[in-house]
Amino acid sequence: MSDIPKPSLRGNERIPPWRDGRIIGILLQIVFVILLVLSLNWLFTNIGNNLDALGAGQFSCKEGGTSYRCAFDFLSGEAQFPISESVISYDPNTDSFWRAIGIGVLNTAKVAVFGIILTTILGTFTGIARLSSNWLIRNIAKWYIDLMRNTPLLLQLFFLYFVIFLVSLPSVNDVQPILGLPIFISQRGMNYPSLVPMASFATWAAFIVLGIVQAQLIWVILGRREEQTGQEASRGRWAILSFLVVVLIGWFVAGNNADTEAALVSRASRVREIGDIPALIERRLGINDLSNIENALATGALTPEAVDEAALKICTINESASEINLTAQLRQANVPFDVTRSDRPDQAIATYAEGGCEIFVANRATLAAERDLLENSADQLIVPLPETPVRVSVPKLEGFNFVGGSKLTLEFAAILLGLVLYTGAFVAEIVRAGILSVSKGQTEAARALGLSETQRLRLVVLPQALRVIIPPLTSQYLNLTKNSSLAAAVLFPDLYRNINTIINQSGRPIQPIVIMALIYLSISLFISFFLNWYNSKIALVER
Amino acid sequence: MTTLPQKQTRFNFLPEDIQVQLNRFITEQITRSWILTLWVLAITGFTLATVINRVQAAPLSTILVLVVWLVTVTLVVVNELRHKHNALSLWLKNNMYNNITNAQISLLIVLGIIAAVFAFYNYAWANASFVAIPAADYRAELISADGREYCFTMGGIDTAVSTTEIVTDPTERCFATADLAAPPSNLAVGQEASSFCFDQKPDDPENGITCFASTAENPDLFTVDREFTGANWGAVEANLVTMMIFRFNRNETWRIWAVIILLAVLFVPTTFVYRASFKNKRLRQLLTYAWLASPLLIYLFLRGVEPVPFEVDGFSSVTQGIWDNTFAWTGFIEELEEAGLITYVNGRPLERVGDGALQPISTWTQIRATLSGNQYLLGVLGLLLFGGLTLLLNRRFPQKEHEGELVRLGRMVLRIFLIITAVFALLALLQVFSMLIGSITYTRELPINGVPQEVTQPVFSSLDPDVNWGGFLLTIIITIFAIVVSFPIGLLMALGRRSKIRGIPAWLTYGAAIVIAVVGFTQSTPAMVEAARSNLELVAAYWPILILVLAYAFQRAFNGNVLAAFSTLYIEFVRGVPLITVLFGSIILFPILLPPGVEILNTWRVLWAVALFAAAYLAENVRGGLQAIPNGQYEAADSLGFNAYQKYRLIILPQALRVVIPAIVGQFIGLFKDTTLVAIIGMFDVLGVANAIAAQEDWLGVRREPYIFLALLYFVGSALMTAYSRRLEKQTGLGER
Repeated sequence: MSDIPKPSLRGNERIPPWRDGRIIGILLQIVFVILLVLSLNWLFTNIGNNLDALGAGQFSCKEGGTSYRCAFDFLSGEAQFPISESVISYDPNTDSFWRAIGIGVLNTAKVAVFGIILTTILGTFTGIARLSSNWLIRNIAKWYIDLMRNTPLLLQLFFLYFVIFLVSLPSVNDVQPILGLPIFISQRGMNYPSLVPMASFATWAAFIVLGIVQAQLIWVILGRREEQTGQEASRGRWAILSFLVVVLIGWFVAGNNADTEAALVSRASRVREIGDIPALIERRLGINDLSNIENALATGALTPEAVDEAALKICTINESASEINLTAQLRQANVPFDVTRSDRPDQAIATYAEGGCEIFVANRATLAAERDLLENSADQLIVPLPETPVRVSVPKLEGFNFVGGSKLTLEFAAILLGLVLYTGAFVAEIVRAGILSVSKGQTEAARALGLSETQRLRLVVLPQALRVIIPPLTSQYLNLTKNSSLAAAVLFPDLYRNINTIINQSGRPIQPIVIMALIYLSISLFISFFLNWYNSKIALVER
Repeated sequence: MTTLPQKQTRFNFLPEDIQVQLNRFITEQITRSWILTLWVLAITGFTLATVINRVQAAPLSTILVLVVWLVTVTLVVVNELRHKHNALSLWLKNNMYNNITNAQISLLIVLGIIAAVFAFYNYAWANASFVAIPAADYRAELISADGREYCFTMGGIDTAVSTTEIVTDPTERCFATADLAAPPSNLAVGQEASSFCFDQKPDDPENGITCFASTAENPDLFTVDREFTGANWGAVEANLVTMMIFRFNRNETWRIWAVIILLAVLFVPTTFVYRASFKNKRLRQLLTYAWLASPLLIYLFLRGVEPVPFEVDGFSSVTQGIWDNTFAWTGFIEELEEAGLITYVNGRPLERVGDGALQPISTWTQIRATLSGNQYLLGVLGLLLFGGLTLLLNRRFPQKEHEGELVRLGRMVLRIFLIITAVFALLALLQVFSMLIGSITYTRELPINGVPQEVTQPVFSSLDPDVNWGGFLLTIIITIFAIVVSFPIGLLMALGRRSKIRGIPAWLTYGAAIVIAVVGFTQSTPAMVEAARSNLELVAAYWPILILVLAYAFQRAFNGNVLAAFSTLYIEFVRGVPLITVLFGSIILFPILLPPGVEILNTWRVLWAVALFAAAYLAENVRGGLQAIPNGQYEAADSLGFNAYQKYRLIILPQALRVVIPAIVGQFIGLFKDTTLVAIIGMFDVLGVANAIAAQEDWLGVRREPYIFLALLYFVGSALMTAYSRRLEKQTGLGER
């Protein structure tokens, strides 16, 4: 015991700095930072030399001269290249590169938002199907998931777009409405009816907001009553009912009080209000009821040419809401019509004056102004055009294009479908893992407490499963957003494709790439920031 | 319920509680709520409608399925009523028929599957053509009016061949003649066609098979018997080699076989040598070294070495060439002259600086020239020098536990210099090695411009990657390069991100930041404020504030730890942008970021971009694994006196990597699939080649079948990797306590 060797390191011996691990560590870090700064300097020098060699004034200023300050000046110039689809208006000759970049961001956002919603739905259903009691459903889901996860996304996109869409869809002239509804899927995309807000939409929107506020009020009040009396007051149903009542009232109020649009007709046509038009057409065609037109055409009592001749000829200004207003009402009444569109009011009134059309719909103020310019203005009547807050706009084939309604381009459909099918498979696996992670004891306990199946899922399984599902789910959302850059392969103008075009058009490679990287980075950081916040909110707090 | 045994006579086969069971069935399954009743009615109606529809479309299969379904349902119901299931009926009941809805859905699904299988069979086999003839021809099978078999000669109309001449070469094939004015695009059955071809038919002089140059000679003789409306598998067969290796030099394909054989030879022992039960350690070591050396060999095979810059005429000239090109003292003035940095003015050498002015040669330039001209020689000499010094030092001061500080300092300094010179010496070794390899030649017969000639060429002649590496070969190269390179980088990034080393002290960071900020404020801000043209530029003029904010953020977030900061920023930046952006950026930015005149091939840019991208994702996966190791492991390793390398290699990483094997393999499978993205930026991986095939005149628009083939290829590859990962999990004992 007594011959334990004494420790050889004496008490306060200092380690000399040149071999002190900590100091060497700090020195190495400083050296690293210096090397980093030097290499950045080298990179920037190279950039400078190379860009000078490229010539063409990479950093030319708007007002002349070159300077690093003016690096992004060229983006204010005219874009001069077409973008096939955009959420906001775009004119290649007047809009700047910045606007093109903005359109790219909006398109990417559109794909991302719809993609996230649809992929969540598809993934949840497939994940639940993976757990179904039916062996066939289970295995079909398994094969779908395996197929999607083991083939590259780009291959799936190419297959979808070039093999299925462009080849198998009918051309515009051969397309048939689906199931009798005016939905047309052709090589030009999918045209479907859409809701167009009219002038009175603002009033109705105010009523909707009022309805929401009031539904909240009822929710809170009934909630308090529930707490006090302990009885179920079905506040959800009352809230929704009151909301619907308010919205309905608002619909009629807004519609009846609106008086912004009108129609110009000649006194001789004996049309005093819009409701007189069906009678007019019936008289022209010589039939009793406009709904018999199809029968008459089928039996041969009427020829298509006669119908076309008797159709109501309408003049309107391009992209005006009054056209949709009138045509929606005429469609309801089964009146055949023919629309002539002009770019400006004076062109439209000229057509009307020549007799090219018999009714001219536009803004009431415009109509009054134009009527006064006519010679026989005393013979012209301004007839009010009733409206409702929204009208349905239905696509109709005119020439080689569809007019009216909304359009879903093939490219958007291809990228959306491809992304949703691909990411949905990953989400399905995540959902399955989440539901399986809830131990069976929870289910048994819930059943022992007498909870119904719905209550068990909603109150016991889902909250625990969500905790396991959310983190990988959000990283899949991130993947979907980043994979949307593959839209360039199917010719959808997303951010990457627009940046590519800008680089080619402007000949400046660095600035657009920096912008693109920054935009993608901020989108990703935003989503992962949200993920971390939500994760910390629902995470299990452990001791 | 009675306790007497049931008498299962023929007339008493109904169980006692059948009434109860039926009641319960009806209540639970049908009448429990009105929604359920509606649903059951709806689905029954839908099933009936579908069955009736399918019976009309494909009666035999539908009736068969229906009969099987009815029989199995009856079986399950009867067994359920009798409370006596056998294995089959129990499985059926649990998995397919557990309620009315499920039973009907099962029937519908089976009918759907049968319809799909039939459709696919028709597409992929019954109506498919396997003729590897370009799509410009028409895929149709013809019959002749007179019942005899005809074949057609190859090429256009050979007017020299008379129509009754019998062709005896069985390899002749057919394709449409070129002089058809308006070829029909779709041949209808029974329609008379004037020119087409069909599957290769061997000629048969004995049976009177006559050959024509074209059917235009006898248009009335042939009609279309059958069109191949299904898959065009011939497209895949004809383009298979193209899809695999694209433009690889067809005279050098032996190299690809060599690589495959090498990998096979290394792979076979790997399956059993790394098990715990394998006792021969030397063999295991040998195999590990072989695997470590294999990338070099594969590189030599697939890329080769640049041509040897000297005439090969025996060993002496090889050594002379090695000396001249590697070790000779080139002299620094000539070196600078070659680089264009020096011009002679009035006989005096002057150096050209950045903005074109001339000045006397600076010391730094002299040092640079010396080092750059002779790094190999310096390396070898330095190695000898410092190696010798180290040996001397060790002889004079043998390693003791407590030494004087001077000796320790000397040892450390020598070690540093030794490592630096060893690196250069290693480069010299590689240079020598590549020159020796490049001097091995062989002679063979190659067709040059169609004429076979005797050519002497190096065995490992250089192959330009941009041209030669294409198709599936490129896909595999990118995948393997990215996997191999991203692993160490990602590992280091993960370790760096979690490192707890002492960072730069706060006073240093803030001090440096303040100095830079002050200098910036005084020097640059006033000028920028004056030149500002918009509010944005005005704000940008006050960039020193940003420096201070960055310093504060750096100190606050990472405690001054530069390693953690760099790793974290790298990982988060690379993970935040899509791969296509990184690839696109690397292709466009590489030429701009490198000095003028330095070129990097497109292929290398892409390889490194994918590798660095994968490293960031791998770092996150490994970090997850490192977090799963309890702290006690780290502490135990430290208490045992392990240094960092030993700790990670022996204790931490084996556990961490085992935990994240599924995630890592998933990452690698994703990498394998993401290599297709290079097709968007214009490189020809297997998907790019498929698109290029569809753009050719011969195979215009034929995309479906190549894409299906590619999907199969990727599916098989991914499935193999998944299976290997599962085996790896089992081998390393993942999940076992």
